[in-house]
Amino acid sequence: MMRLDAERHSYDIPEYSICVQCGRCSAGCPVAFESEHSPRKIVRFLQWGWLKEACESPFLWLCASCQTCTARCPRGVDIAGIVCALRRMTQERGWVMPGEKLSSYRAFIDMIKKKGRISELSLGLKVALCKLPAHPVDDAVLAWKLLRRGRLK
Amino acid sequence: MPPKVDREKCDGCKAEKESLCEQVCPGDLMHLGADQKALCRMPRDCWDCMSCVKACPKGALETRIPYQLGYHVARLIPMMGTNTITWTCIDINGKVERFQYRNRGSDD
Amino acid sequence: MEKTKALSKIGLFIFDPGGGFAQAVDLETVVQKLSKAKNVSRCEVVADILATGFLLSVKEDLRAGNLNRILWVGRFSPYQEKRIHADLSAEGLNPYLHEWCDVKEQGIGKKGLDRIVQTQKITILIQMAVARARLIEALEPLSLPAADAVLIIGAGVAGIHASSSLIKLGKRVYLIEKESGVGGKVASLHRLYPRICDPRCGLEFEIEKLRRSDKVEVHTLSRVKALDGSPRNFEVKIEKAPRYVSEERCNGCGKCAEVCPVTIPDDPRLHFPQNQDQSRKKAIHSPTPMAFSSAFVVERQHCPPQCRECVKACPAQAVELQQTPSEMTLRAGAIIATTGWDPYPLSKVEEYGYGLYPNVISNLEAERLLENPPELKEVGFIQCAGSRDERHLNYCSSVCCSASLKQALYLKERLPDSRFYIFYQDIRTPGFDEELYRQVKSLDNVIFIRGLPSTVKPDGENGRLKIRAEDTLSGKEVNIGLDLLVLAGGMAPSEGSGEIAERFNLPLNNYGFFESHLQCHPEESQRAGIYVGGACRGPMNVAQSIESSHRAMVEAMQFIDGTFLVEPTYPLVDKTKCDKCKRCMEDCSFSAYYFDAEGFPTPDLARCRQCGNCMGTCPITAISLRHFTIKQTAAQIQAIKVSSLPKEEPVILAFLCKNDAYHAAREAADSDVVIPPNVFFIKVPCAGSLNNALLADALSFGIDGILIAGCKDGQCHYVRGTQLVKTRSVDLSDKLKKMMIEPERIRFENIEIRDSKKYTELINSYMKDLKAMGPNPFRV
Repeated sequence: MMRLDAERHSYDIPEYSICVQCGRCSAGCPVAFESEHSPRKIVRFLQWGWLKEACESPFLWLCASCQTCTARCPRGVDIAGIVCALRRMTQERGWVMPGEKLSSYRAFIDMIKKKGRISELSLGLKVALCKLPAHPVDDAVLAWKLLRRGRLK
Repeated sequence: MPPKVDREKCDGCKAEKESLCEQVCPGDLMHLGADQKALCRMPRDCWDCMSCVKACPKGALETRIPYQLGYHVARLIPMMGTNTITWTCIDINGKVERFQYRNRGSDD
Repeated sequence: MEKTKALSKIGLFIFDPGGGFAQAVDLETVVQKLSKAKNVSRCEVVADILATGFLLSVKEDLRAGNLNRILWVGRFSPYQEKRIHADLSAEGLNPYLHEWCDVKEQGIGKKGLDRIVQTQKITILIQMAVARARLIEALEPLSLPAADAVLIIGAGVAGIHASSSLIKLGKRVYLIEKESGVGGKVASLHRLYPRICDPRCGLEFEIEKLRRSDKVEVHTLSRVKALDGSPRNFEVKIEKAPRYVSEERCNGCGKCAEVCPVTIPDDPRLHFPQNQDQSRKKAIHSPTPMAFSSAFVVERQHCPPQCRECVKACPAQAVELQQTPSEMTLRAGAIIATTGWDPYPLSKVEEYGYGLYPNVISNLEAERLLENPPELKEVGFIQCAGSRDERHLNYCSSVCCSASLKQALYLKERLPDSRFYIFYQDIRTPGFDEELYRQVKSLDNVIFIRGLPSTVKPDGENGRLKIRAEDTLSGKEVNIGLDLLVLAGGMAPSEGSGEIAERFNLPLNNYGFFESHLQCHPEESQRAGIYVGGACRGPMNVAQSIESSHRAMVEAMQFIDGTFLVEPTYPLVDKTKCDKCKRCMEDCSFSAYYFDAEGFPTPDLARCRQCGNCMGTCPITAISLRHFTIKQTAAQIQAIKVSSLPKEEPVILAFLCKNDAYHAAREAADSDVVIPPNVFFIKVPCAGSLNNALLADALSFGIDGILIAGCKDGQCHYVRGTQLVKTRSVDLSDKLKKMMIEPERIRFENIEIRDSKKYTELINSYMKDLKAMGPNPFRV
């Protein structure tokens, strides 16, 4: 566990110094190339101490927590854990993020805190409301598709 | 009075057939118990020769001074040198005296 | 002992070139006092130790019997020491009857020290040396008989080269190999880097030498079953599996193989679509990998019942299907394990699909393809497959980068229109192998991608593979389709090495290779007389394997010379005192003790490293190292007349291990640092050689503080010395507590060889602590 002591906030970020940048994590990551950043790059930013770059990366919010990166890493770096910790850090410090993504995250966490579980329909509605006035129609169509296939409870 | 065994220090002479205290005791009183640690099997027969105390390589044995001579406070500790024994006597009032003697048979 | 003491006649010579000592101390008083000491026949100060006149006078005294041992005080150069030894041994003075006392390293002559204090100190130091000199004895090195052959286990490149060098020197060799033929893994390679030459060329060259020599016996299909005996006299039991063919009669004509109905199924993994494996073997086949003797071998487990085709077909009647396993015992003076490596099973690296897809192969298997490569358009190499990975091999396998580059170079020549992709995290081509890298880099259509793939996936039904990786140098995603994927697998410890380690009780390191003292003695196995060489020691290439096994071979030679010299400073067990408690046997890190005919523990002088740990551990001081006996050290300790030193200054007696701590102290003495004068030290072979009785002596004679200094934990030259003495001194400290003496009067420290700074700080802080404690209650 590394304690990042930049600005005297401490978040338990899993060890990243031992990474040799072999790229296996990015190679297996399903969303690595959707944005300009990849899991390997995030770890590189941390090695340099460029917290802001790491936290402002859109990759952080594309990560699906599939754990392939952590499973593939030959040195045992828990990249998925790092992304998780960075998400928390970003959200708690209110670093600049496109608003809608932040509030989706917030909505998710709050619902779990309150109810201990997720009701997908209400979560979807909440997120859609936060996103207003952008894309409510698309979201509604998507919701209907999912409901039909029994993927929405 | 039979010797006191410090169970943490005693290693049963690594569970040898005969531990050192067992080999040296003239009354054949010391032996290894079920837990492989030293034990005096007949406390009443011990006559305090202290051969076992001198022989123990870990210093796990210590003589109990009889009540009449000094009770718990009193202690008698031998320290074996190459050709000397240094005795430390602590009496019931806590006074410490030390005596040093040459060993017989050391200059062969 | 008493006799020795009474008859000792010591010549005491203080070497003072340039008068330095005379300035620092009152030498006249010292000489006066010491001339009157018991057993000192002659005592004087000498300005030129090699002056002819002086040496002549000493020789005269020796001849006349006025002197029979000499104490040299002062600092001598190694040249002077050698001269003195040589000159006087001509007069019959045994080298062990010289005692050397370097007072300078104990702090005499240091600037700024009070003259009176130094005079007191030098007097005590010389008295200590005299006490020891009274008791030293003449000793002769021991000559022990030795078996005159070396047993080499494993006939790979390391074993073969070591054998051929040994026989060149006229030594006898037994070479044991578990396969039916010799050559090991190297013989299955197609080409070696950097020359891109055929490995069988070099191997055959050496093997031919072995064939023509009568000094070597090669036993194939043989394994080591048991080990007995000791260095210079090992007895090794070998089990030989049946060949089913007579080695005497078979001439390798191959008629049997022609009629044999059974073809051994090939490894299913090697069915590469366009390339049918050439070397399909029958159940009876020539030895693999390379024949030493031409005799074929039958793999009986494949034979159909009652089939006798080969027997019938053989014109020399050489097939003997009724053969059974046999055993033999070989006597050897030394053993060398050259049991090599095994490829790491790549099926464990599941994500790369080895074993799943037929066109994913290992680098070893790729060697066979090199001979006759099929038409391939796109070939990929993944480096570090299973190496440098904490889930598989946690180390770098050393050769795979160069090996893959060699394969790429060789293949590209034969497939000029193909495209190669090399996925790597680092390219490790040390030394001259860099040339390989340059050559491959300069080829067209070879792309190096710095980024390892995560998973290998099949690309449709046509057998192709697709790989995705991040090219970390550009940050871009790459998606590649391949016809063939070569995984650069790692070198793991071989199964044979594991067997030998178990049978011979040899420690293995964390990685499963033989544990050796890597820096200074990579060939050692921690068992005297058994050495290791080649890849069984760690991943290495062919040239390094050959060098490694040669190092082992040279060391092994000391055990096979018919006789073997043992330094006379070995431990002696006093059987009148010993009560067979066996602690010496258990504490010996080298398993050097065994029970003699009467049941007394006795050291095997060939295995004994003369560290003295047995002497330190014996609870009745029944063991002494010759020339460093308990009595000699006790006499030294008792010669420190504490009463002659002022009571306010604590006296420290330090026991310094001669491998590390002693050098630190000497450096401190020779430098400008201030060391308190009341520190006396005695050099010991290992901290573990210190017996509690000596510490008890020191304390009971009034020494205020004892310092025991040994090597750093884990670095003790005799493996466990520091640990053992630490435990014992803790026991003694506990006793001190009971005796109402401060347990801190015995202190144990680890000091490294150049740590004079730590030593100085230590002594000064210890002095302070002792001053606070007050004098030892035993101090008169």
